[in-house]
Amino acid sequence: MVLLENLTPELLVKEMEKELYVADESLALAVYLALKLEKPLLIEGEPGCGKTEVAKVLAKLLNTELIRLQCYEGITASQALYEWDYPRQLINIRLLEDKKSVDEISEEIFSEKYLLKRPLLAALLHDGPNPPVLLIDEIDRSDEEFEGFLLEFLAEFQVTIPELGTIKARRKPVVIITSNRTREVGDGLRRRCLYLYVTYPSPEKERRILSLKVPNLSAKLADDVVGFVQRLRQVNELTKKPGISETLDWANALTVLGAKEITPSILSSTLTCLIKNEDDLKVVKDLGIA
Amino acid sequence: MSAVEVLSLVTEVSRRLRTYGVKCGTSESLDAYRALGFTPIKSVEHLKQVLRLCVIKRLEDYEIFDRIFDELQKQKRPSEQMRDGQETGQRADMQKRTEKSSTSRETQKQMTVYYSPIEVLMKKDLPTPTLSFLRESKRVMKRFRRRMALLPGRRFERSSKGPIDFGETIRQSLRTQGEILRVLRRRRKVTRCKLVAIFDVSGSMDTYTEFLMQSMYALARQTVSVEVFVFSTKLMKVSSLLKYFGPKKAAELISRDVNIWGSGTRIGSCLSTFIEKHRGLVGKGTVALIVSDGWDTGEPEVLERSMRNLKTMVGRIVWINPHADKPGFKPRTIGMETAMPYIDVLAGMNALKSLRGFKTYFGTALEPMGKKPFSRPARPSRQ
Repeated sequence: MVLLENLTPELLVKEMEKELYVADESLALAVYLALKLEKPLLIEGEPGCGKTEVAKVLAKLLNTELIRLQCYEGITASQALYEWDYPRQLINIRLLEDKKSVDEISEEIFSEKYLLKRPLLAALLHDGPNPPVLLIDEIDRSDEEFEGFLLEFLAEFQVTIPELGTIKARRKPVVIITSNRTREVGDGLRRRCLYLYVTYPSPEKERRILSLKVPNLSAKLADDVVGFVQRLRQVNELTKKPGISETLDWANALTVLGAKEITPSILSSTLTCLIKNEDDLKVVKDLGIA
Repeated sequence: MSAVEVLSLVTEVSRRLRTYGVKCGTSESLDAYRALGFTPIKSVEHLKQVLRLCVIKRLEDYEIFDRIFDELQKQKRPSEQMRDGQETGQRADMQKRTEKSSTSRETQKQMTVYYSPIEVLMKKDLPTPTLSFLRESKRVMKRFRRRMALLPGRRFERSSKGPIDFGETIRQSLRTQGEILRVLRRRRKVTRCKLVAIFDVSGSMDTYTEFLMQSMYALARQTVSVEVFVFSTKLMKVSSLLKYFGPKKAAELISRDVNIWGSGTRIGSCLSTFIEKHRGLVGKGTVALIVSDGWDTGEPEVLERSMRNLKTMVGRIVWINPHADKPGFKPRTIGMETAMPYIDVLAGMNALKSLRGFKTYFGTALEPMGKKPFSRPARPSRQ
């Protein structure tokens, strides 16, 4: 476990590597500053480049809870924040009907016990030596209204529940926001965050990731895998270029198949690990790479 | 680095960023200053990363930041740069101390001087658009956006009026054991028409300079979701520049980066840059407005691919070709021929110039989006 007080970017790189995450300097710096400045970190980048993973690893590293809010179109504030547990409240009203007065009952049923904590509230109420890691995943999928609602939450880290009053965070949670850029995230949200763009890794970094995550892979094969994937990423015609997660999938597939080297037959049967699109498969075959 | 140096560096960087139209406020500068306090700066690259992290909030601005930072680094006097290298010895130490104070004075002096790397050579005198022009173009744009989309979409949203949303009402009632507490209503969500205008400013469009700049300005002044880009051999986003500086000053600033009113055009590669970098700006409700004569010096395959990709991303592609106003116009240039299959509407400059011209092109021909399939044969010339 790492204590926030004696953290440095270099230490962060080392610790993240222990958790099987290869962080380059800029990423470590971003995470470090987000922790120090207590600001949310907005990570944008191509799919499958380890944006979500940052939050997961960080939670492990700080030995704290990862609270995840997956955004989708139509997500509402109540789904992210809190809801009252209606069925339990109703049952309780029935049970207490004869024993207690109306005031007592209403005080009872509008207490924290009957509050269903959704991710944002859970992050505020978290108890522990280190603050929780709140991951707001794929913010670009949510509607603009939801993004607007988040602005207030991220600025103040407090929530007002009419029946209970205002709840303020005991310790500001570490917030990681990710976006795939399917929609432009608004300026307001950007202003409140530190911003980092992650892109495909360099060959050296990718090899390092492979050696950490797929230790069974032989060095030569790893080189071949990285070389091939890097070459695929140069092809501009592809609509979706393979990310790191695709490389890992492929490397795993190769080890499972017991491949010693990448032969055309193995390549054609495992290419679907890298390319997930009919048109792209055709492009790759036409170019004669595969 | 001393605190004063850090402070002057941060303010200088953010000041320059602002001249390039990057939104960079006091809070960003403050963050950067605080961040630099937290980390010991080991190298120039390290310093750059910290600054970029705090000050820049979008990918498109990375490039501008990098350039500004490098410029500032270059402006450091050679002796100052030596300080970054491994220089030891007491004498050098002495030198350092004296030079440090003089350079910081230097930077203070520079902060008041306006910096312009390229001599700006504008061929034409650009008058600021008249009020009547702005009014007319505002009207045209309003009509344009309404014509192009702005219609209720497929999705619903909650509202206080409208038909009862039985599904949602019952779903909500489940949480209260089937007790219906509120009757919910819904209405169709209105899809706003976003507009992305991409202007060709290469040599062949030279004759239309004045009108182009003015209509770009008129577009950028719109309050709602309009983004303006220019390209010749490079693509550049200019909405904020135009909005803040007006057409004349913006043209100067733009010409620093984009080879304006000169040299060839690479429509294809510029469009693919657009797709790569600004994909987030467009969606199915967006109308892409491309203003170009289609003289392309790039490869047709690249153009074809980018047009195809663009087509899948946006709702409608409108191509404004200045020559389309002329009677008997046929899209003959290679660029036009390649792009034709992906264009929904082909129109001439008059469509943007006045309401009358607009009516000629868009009068009855356009169906609201969503009611008919998007791709329809383009109308090459005006009837």
